[in-house]
Amino acid sequence: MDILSQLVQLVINGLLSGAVLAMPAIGFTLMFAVLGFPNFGISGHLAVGAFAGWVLNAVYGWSIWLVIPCGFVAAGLVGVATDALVFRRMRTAAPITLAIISVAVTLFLENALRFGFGNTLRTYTVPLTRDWQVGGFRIGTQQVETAAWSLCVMAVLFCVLRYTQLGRALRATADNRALAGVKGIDTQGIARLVVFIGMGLAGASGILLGIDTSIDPLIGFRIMLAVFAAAVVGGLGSVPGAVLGAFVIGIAEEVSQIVLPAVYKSAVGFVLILLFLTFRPSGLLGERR
Amino acid sequence: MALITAHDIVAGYGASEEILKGVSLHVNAGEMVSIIGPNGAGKSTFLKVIAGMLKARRGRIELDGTSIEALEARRITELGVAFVAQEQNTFPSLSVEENLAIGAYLFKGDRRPRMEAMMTRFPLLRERRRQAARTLSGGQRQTLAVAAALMASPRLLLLDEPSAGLSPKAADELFATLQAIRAEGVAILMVEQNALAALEISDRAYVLVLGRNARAGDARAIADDPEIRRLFLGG
Repeated sequence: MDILSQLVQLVINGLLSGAVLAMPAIGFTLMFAVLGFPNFGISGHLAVGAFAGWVLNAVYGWSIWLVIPCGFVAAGLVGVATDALVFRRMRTAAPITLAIISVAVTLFLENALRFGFGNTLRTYTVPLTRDWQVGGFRIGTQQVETAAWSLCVMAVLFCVLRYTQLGRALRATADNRALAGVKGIDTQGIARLVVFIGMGLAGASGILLGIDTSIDPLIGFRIMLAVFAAAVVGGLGSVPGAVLGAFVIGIAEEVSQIVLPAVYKSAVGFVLILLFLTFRPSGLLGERR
Repeated sequence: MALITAHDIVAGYGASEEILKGVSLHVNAGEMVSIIGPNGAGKSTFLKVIAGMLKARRGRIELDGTSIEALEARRITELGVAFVAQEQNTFPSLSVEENLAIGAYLFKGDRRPRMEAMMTRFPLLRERRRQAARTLSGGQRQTLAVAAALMASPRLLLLDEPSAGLSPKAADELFATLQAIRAEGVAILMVEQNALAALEISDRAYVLVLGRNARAGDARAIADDPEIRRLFLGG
């Protein structure tokens, strides 16, 4: 394969992985916009969704496509519970304090999963499929299916945010929480809903990631840097930015393999975070805060 | 009959000193009332207390005889009180149309007739209906903020420095609009930097000094009072 073909193949791979990465990145950025702090608890909730899906799929034999919404709901509900137990009484605390607490929440959830399921790598029961060959390029059918799922979820979320009164209320709360309260919006309820959606997206993406490879309690921890990078590159608080950032990170990680060993792939996100926070803190589509 | 009555309100921010040290006031249905006074008198703080954005440490607020001082801001809005803050009074990333829709958030019926009426009253909002609020000028944003507040069909409109940052022409237009709103039966309680203009269109006025009531009475009489003119109205 010549260098150009290799590049195209890597960009295709990057687009597919970026589509999956976009889901937790949207969740992360949505929660940042409304709650005002980076909730790293998303990594633990991603693992919760992945394991909830695994139990239903591998233990109870449910279809993989049925367990994805279940993983969403499971992670979303655990998110609402952790929010009520831990974060709700601390809404006015400094963002850095809340960010550190969210790391503790992730550690708790990951270790709870480790306690229950051990460290063994687990896989979903999915039908084996042959990769497509298109114009000399290899495209994994499973990856296309997971990317399609992700794009559908993003489309639904976009429509809700854009065209419904609930979506407007959510965006209004992200813009100005005090004013939203004066207008009659139940801002606490919106905060709970955002946590449910954000953690739910993380949980569903945990299953999508697991379909492609395998799952273990640290599945969320391994992609947290890429999720954070996607949100920062796109502009913290911007949902379209998170999608764009996810594709940028997905492609950059894949393309970096031309010059870097694959083991350094995750360093790409780290470098991009550094570059953006230094030279363009508002990200590609974010507003200056 | 009094629509809203505040008795002996004491309030402040956080653990800091009290800003309001016992303010009392009432607004009758369909009346326009101004609050004037020097900087730091607690005028804006008082409006925030009425709107439920800041809880009073002491005192009682009654809307139509119902005690509201312990209610959340959204409950007070539900009871027919709309507040337009001096700054950050629109949602910058939402379009003009979306800001209006959020203004009527608690209204469960069809919002389109109200929105249509608001765009007829403020034609510039129709011209810019799809624009994000952050792209509007200061005066246009102020107009949007008032229109969004009216979308809730309030019985009482609280306005904090509505003409701040407006050109004289835009301020005149705004005051004319406020008179029209009042003529429709909406009571208005206003804090205004342009005190003379506010007194001109108000029925009654209160003068606050250092968090306490200093004077109250007919707006015209207060505007004509030589001492008040000297102290607060620039001559």
